[in-house]
Amino acid sequence: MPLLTQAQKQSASDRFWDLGNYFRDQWEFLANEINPRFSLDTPKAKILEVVSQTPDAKSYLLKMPRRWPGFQAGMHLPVVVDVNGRQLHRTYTISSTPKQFREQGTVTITSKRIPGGKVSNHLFNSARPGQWIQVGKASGQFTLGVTKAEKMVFIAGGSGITPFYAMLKDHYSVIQPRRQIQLLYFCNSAPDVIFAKQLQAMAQLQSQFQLHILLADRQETLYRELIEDLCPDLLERDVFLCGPQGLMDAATEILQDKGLPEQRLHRESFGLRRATSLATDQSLGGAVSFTQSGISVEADGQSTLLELAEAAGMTPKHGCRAGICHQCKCSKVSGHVVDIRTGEVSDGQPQLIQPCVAVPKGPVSIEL
Amino acid sequence: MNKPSKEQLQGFGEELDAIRAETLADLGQSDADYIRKLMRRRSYAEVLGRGLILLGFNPVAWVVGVILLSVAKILDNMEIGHNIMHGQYDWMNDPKIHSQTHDWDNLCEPGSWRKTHNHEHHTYTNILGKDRDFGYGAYRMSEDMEWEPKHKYQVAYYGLMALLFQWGLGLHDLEAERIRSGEITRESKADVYSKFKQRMRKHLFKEYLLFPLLGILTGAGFLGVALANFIANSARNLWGSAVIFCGHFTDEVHTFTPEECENETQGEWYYRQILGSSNIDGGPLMHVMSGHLSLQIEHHLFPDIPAHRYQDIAPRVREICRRYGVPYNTGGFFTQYWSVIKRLHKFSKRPESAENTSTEKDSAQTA
Repeated sequence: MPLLTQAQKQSASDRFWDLGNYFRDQWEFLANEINPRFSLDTPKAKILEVVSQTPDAKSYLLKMPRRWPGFQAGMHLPVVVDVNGRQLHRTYTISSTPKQFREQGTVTITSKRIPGGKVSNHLFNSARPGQWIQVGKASGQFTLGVTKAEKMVFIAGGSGITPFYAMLKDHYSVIQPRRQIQLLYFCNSAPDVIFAKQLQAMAQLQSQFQLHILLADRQETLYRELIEDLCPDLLERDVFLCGPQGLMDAATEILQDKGLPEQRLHRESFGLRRATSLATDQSLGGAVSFTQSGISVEADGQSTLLELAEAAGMTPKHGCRAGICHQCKCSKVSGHVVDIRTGEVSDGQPQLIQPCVAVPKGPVSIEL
Repeated sequence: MNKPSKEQLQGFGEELDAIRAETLADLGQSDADYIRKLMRRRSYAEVLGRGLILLGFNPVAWVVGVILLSVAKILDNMEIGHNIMHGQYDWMNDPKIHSQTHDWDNLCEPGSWRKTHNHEHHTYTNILGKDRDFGYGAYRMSEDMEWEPKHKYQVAYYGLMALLFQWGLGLHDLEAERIRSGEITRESKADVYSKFKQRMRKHLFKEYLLFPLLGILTGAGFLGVALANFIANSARNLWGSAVIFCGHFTDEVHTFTPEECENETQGEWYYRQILGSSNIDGGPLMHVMSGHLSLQIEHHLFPDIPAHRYQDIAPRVREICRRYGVPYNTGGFFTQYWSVIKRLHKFSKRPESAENTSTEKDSAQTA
């Protein structure tokens, strides 16, 4: 799926007879006119069905493009959505099973609209069957494949249920599922529970699966009581955690307090996770000069180069904003930058960098 | 004509700033749909045009094919390539429609185009010695430029270069006149030259070998296809050069000295852009086929606003110019083009006081 690696795409070679780019452009034009599933650069999925799950959440059934390579339950799907003419990139967890994809070539993504969320609201309000949506390759480490444990706890909050739903459905579709899974699903109120009926049906059929839907406000003490009461054998289990930041932080703290080893805790965090060393580093920031637009700004040491450029009124091209897709790649002329994911410092030589995950360390000059 | 006062130009600049801010805030789906629609039409014209040319057995199909291919190349360069590379659609965040990644059907390499055109020409518009697009280092277009014997033939030279316009653009960044004068070294331009050669080879291979060979297979014949491609490329060259020359070299267009433009305010910059540009009257077809360079004044005021918006902006700019007494140069295509030829002819003649002009230029260089 070349969607997210376009910047890396090799340009046609220097040979005079290599007109790869020319013919590719013609192919892209014809594919997009006839059937966008055949596009190589911007493969698109067709929306087949839109299902309301709760007052705020909907599922979208997608017919995937040709050559889409498949996924494992728990992975997420990058999508590019046009909102008022602007291409915005998001990733949504796939809530359907690999089996469904193998048999029908479809996947389902489920998304909850968040106040002010441009893409989630656009999908909620405007997505209709028959429309096309640009998709990339599924990815993610939040799958059952990462552990051999037989007993596990899933802790979900709100729309964080989606990867668990895919994993549970996938796991309990085999004839003799071997894992014992307990799901603690925190929700604000009964109407907000996504997949309530399906989960209850699954719990009745599968003795190995225990379901606890917990309607509560998000008090840390409550989490602690609930997790301890419901899971006395917590330390014998692998814990998978996915939900809003408050729940993630509180649950992580509780689990660490109880002495759960790091390798048994699996967290799905949406968005970027910053290296901890960055928070205290005083040497970050400095004068940034964007050579092509002739704009200079002072970096605060927290904002990435992409954020700084956008704050200065520029519109550099970008994709995932998380260092995955390389779409924003540009040249650093001079100076040092720090990768916010790893804390790694670059050397001062001219090189290609990803401005969405780079924070300047001292004065830098960027070709944007 | 009197130049408006500093205070007047302040107000003038603020009114134009307001148009810019208002238009930028309004950009959205309709602009995205517009440029995508144009790109689809360009591709339809190209695929159908090349297809009809390759059909071969039918002269009518061949002629229609040549017209379609010419239209495709003109749309590609003018309304699509030129405008996208100005960053007019960068806000869409679509890699195919972004100034950093877009490529066009032209011998001029996009990176070199962005440097010479977007930066040098649009910033230093019509400042003698700084805007190399003013005269392209080949033509004498103003009294302030030094006369050289080669200028005697500049009308005829222009005719040839109009036909080869894309070759001139491709080699523009080579700055051959500065290499000849010893100002820069040949080696400093080695990279520019090798990129040009690479594009040239691909262009020649595609237009004059690969498609003509396909023509042998389909029955259109090698020469029939090569000729069709040559006509389409030339039509694009002639039209592009005519539109661009009408934009800056008509009779009334002003030139500036570097000293005049030091510490320029935004209002003064707008003022220079307007005096240095001229429009072509016409309907929507003229505007689209010229990439809205028929609204060159608006383009020079707001080079990064999607060009199709200039049609709405133009009456407002005209009204502001009228109120501030700023001349707004516009006319029909043939009127404007004729005045370009007249200007080329006028300055091709050796000035009577040739010595004065050369001393003036020397003093300008030392200043």
